[in-house]
Amino acid sequence: MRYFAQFRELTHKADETFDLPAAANVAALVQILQDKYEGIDRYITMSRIAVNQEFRDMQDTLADGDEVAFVPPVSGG
Amino acid sequence: MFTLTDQALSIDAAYQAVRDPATGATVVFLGTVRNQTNGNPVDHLEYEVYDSMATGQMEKIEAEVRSKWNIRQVYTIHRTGPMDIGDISVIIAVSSPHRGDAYAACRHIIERIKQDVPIWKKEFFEDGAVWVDSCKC
Repeated sequence: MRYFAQFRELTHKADETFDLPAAANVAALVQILQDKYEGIDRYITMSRIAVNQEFRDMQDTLADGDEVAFVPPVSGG
Repeated sequence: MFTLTDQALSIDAAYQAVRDPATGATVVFLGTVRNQTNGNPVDHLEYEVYDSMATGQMEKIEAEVRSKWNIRQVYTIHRTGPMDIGDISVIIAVSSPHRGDAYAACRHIIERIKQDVPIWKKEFFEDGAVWVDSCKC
């Protein structure tokens, strides 16, 4: 996991590594995060999911070494 | 081309980056830090970026503009970290044989940055701070 913006502030981390079962999907990772970090759910709800720097979905399967990040509403420019 | 920096941005450097002999029009857009949001005075901002994904998304956006319009060079630079009122947060420079394409391409890039590039702005007010929701900026 890479943590940015509200996620970085909530977890107090820039990144973290999780071990997941083979063929786990993003939703499984979300469950782990919800159990570990109280209050993270409202940020997850407002965010898009990125896997290996591409926007993806909750149901997408993860592979070993994948980089996941939640992308809250962006405000660059 | 897309780059990130925590240093103050140079308008001339952006212009020089897109100079091209086939150019008849160059459009340069500056995003600047505004002193208020919805009537609330802003003290300063901080920008955070997901570097590798921002670069990838900007490559896609550049490919989009090249496929839609006839442009010569495009250069986007976004500043990160803390910024004060009046600072330049982003510069987008586009050169083209014709002004129609230059204007349209430049406009497209800033609109797309505000949709899909993982950069976040935190606004600091007198009584607190908030991560900006893009719909409101």
